[in-house]
Amino acid sequence: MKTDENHLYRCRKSDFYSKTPRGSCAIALPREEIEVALVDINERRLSYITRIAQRIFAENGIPIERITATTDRRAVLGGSQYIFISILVGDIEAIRKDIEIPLRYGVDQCIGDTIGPGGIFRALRTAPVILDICRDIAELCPEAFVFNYTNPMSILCWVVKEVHPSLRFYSLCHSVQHTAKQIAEYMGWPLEDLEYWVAGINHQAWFLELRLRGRDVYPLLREKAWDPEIAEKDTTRVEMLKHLGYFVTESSGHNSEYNPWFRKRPDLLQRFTPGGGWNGETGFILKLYGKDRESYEQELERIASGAEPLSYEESEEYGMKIIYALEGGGIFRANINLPNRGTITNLPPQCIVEVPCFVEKGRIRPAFVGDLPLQLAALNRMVVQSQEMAVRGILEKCRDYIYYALYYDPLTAAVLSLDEIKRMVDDMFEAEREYLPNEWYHS
Amino acid sequence: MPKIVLIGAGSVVFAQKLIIDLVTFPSLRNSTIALVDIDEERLELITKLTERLKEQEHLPLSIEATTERRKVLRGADYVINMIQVGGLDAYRLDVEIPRKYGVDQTVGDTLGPGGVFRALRTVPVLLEICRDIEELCPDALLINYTNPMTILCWAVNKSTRVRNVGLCHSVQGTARTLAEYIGVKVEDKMKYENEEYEFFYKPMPADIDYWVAGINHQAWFLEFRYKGEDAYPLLWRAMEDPSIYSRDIVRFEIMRHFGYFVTESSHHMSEYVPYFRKNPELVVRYIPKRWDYYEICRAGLVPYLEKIQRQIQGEEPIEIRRSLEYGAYIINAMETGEVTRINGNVANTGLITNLPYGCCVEVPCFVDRLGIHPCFVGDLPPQLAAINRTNINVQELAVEGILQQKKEYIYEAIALDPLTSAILTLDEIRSMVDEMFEAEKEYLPEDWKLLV
Repeated sequence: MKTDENHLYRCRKSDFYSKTPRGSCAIALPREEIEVALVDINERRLSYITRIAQRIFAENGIPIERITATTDRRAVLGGSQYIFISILVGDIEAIRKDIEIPLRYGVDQCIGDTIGPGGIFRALRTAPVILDICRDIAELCPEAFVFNYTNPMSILCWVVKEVHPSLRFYSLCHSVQHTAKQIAEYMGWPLEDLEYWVAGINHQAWFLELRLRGRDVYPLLREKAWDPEIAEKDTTRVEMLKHLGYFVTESSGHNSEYNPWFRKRPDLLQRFTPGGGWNGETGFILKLYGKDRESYEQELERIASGAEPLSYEESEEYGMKIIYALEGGGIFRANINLPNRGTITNLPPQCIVEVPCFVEKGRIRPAFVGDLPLQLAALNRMVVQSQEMAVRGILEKCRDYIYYALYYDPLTAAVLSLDEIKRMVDDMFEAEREYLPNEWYHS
Repeated sequence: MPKIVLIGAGSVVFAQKLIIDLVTFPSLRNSTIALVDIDEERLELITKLTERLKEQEHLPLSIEATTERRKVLRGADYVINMIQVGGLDAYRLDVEIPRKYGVDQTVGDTLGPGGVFRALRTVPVLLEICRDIEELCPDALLINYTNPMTILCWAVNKSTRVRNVGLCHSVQGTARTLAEYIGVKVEDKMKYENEEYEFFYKPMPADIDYWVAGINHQAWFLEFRYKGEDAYPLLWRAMEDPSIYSRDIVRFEIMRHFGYFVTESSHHMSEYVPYFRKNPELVVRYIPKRWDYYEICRAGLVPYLEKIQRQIQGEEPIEIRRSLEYGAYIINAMETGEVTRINGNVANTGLITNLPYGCCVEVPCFVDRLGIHPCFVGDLPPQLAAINRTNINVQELAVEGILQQKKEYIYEAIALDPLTSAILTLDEIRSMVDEMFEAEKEYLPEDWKLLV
């Protein structure tokens, strides 16, 4: 098994604010007292982020001794209050297999990191590492809040809840906030005047309410769906808005993978992915992650060395705002991924949902959502049942459940027969052997 | 600038408190406040008082006053209900008739014979108000302060489409009391005229956090923390101190035997369970100092009214201070987006998973510009849900009895009341209920008069 990157940020003490510099991940800036520990198994990458963090601290008058960096997470986990996980297990070559093998069978993915063959194999690679990290957390800092940014976040969160039910483990994404911003842009509305209420599952959550200064503006958005300019930019989401009546989170390209409607035939692909890129280009993830490593590291070097100025623009990420609220800085609402229990009443209680949560001193409180509109719950359930079988497969190291998960994957099932799916899964297991635990290969 | 209608504004002391709360929020200083009461004299009193407040504080407030609510409901954003149907005369019967039978209620406004009859008088009037809201201001939020909270809100949820929340101060009031019990001091140089003012205005310590859920007047402190740590051990220790224990015997006994502290007061709580009031000896043992709310109301209003007169005349300033009531906080949060957390009474749509679906629960809710968002609570500890369910049984029968005008359900509701059923036989209960129906006939709606 090979692990590529492994960032853990540990924070201690109160008083942060949530400006995050461009180009770096989520780093909190302290006003008074904070300790940050950076962890990665890749020493060269670790040294970049460490120097960048030191630069941020120095520019803000904070002693850089408060930053520690290590390749051994166990050395820093003790006493941690907040832990961020954003790891990538298996490099671009593993992802290439996630995309290219299914493509040979006709399953055309754009990002492939959430569900479907790519998402499920990413989960197979990642879950064992996340569980190792969680075992250390359970031993060394069981009270810590753990925020996972790693995909596929619903499956990972679900696996962790099964194995470590008492950990305060949550998954965070920016797709809700980002979609709100996009809607505001499409409609020419000031974002700060837009109120929204979003619930569903990660990468497939629904804008249930949309108000501008108190007024219900959903009818205006629904009208806008017929504007060809918007359909060109955000094709599949606008198409779903037309047919299902609600706007969904993430991006058009991502969204096109989680249902049976857009990627099963070449003519549909052409029609529903105009412009390519985030709008649904085949294998776009490979472009995204495969960009020239050398120039990427040169950019990191320029930031680390101070040659390039740091931007202190506020990011969309929830992480630091959540910590601020947990430390008593006031109530903050965020969409957070956690076990459903009964918050969405027409999704299974055990699944992971992305629902509005109110974060207050020391606690994350999910709001009650109730029933989703039937047509929305139905699509979520298609995805959730596939996730559930993947989770079972991961927990029991049972390949049958991985077949089942993909038999029921909305896109795969729309393209392939049962025996084709089984062969595809076997091919992927064979090709990704070096990234997966041996237990998958017994019998 | 929101339009806020106060119905029953002739409850001058309470209405004054809420109106002052409203104007302590800068966002609400230019509200339109519409005062409604069917008692012209009382209406004039609260109108003059509000005008005096406007003058004293140079507020850009618009004030309207009417005895006919339909004249002011159109365009209302918030409707605050604080009516008392039948006034003190009916209330006297709620308390005195059962007392003759040995059912000794101290407040009698929530459950039991008093609570059920108060509901019989009040639900029909509240539903008429709701019909007007549905017609004239269908998007308005109804904030209900009238008791019996749970039966009223349940009836509203069951038979109207009005957005509503029921509010009480027993959660936040109890939280502050518990802070005192565990010795958390809060800096406070205020002088309070009496205990009631102290209750409403004394500040809350900053380091206390709580998570409370259940039903109104019987909600449970599921979490009680001081400086982030569980403070229940401190509370258990406080119980050992006789000077603290003696202030709240019933609720400490409930904690001793059921594991959790409950909202409201020892007086109130003693009425909702079978253990404390089933004979005079027990009453003396658990409630050494009587606190009979009907008598307090009868005697206690005069000094308040005198004070209000002095304020209207300008002889005494109106003090501007913010009480612990949630109402103004909610309106401010909905107008500005400054998020606040309250405990609200809402329909149980799956919020508390081991209480009946559809009953009225008191749960933590966050409020923002989108409105009131109840939180998911999940299962209560089973022993707490069990106590709540004994009360919900009564409430459900009362709601169904009132909505279906089925008199048998009213007998059955009271027959299942934990206190009444600990004292009386079934036929004694029936006689008592009959006597109450007869005596309160004039306060009941026409249809019920026929049934009686």
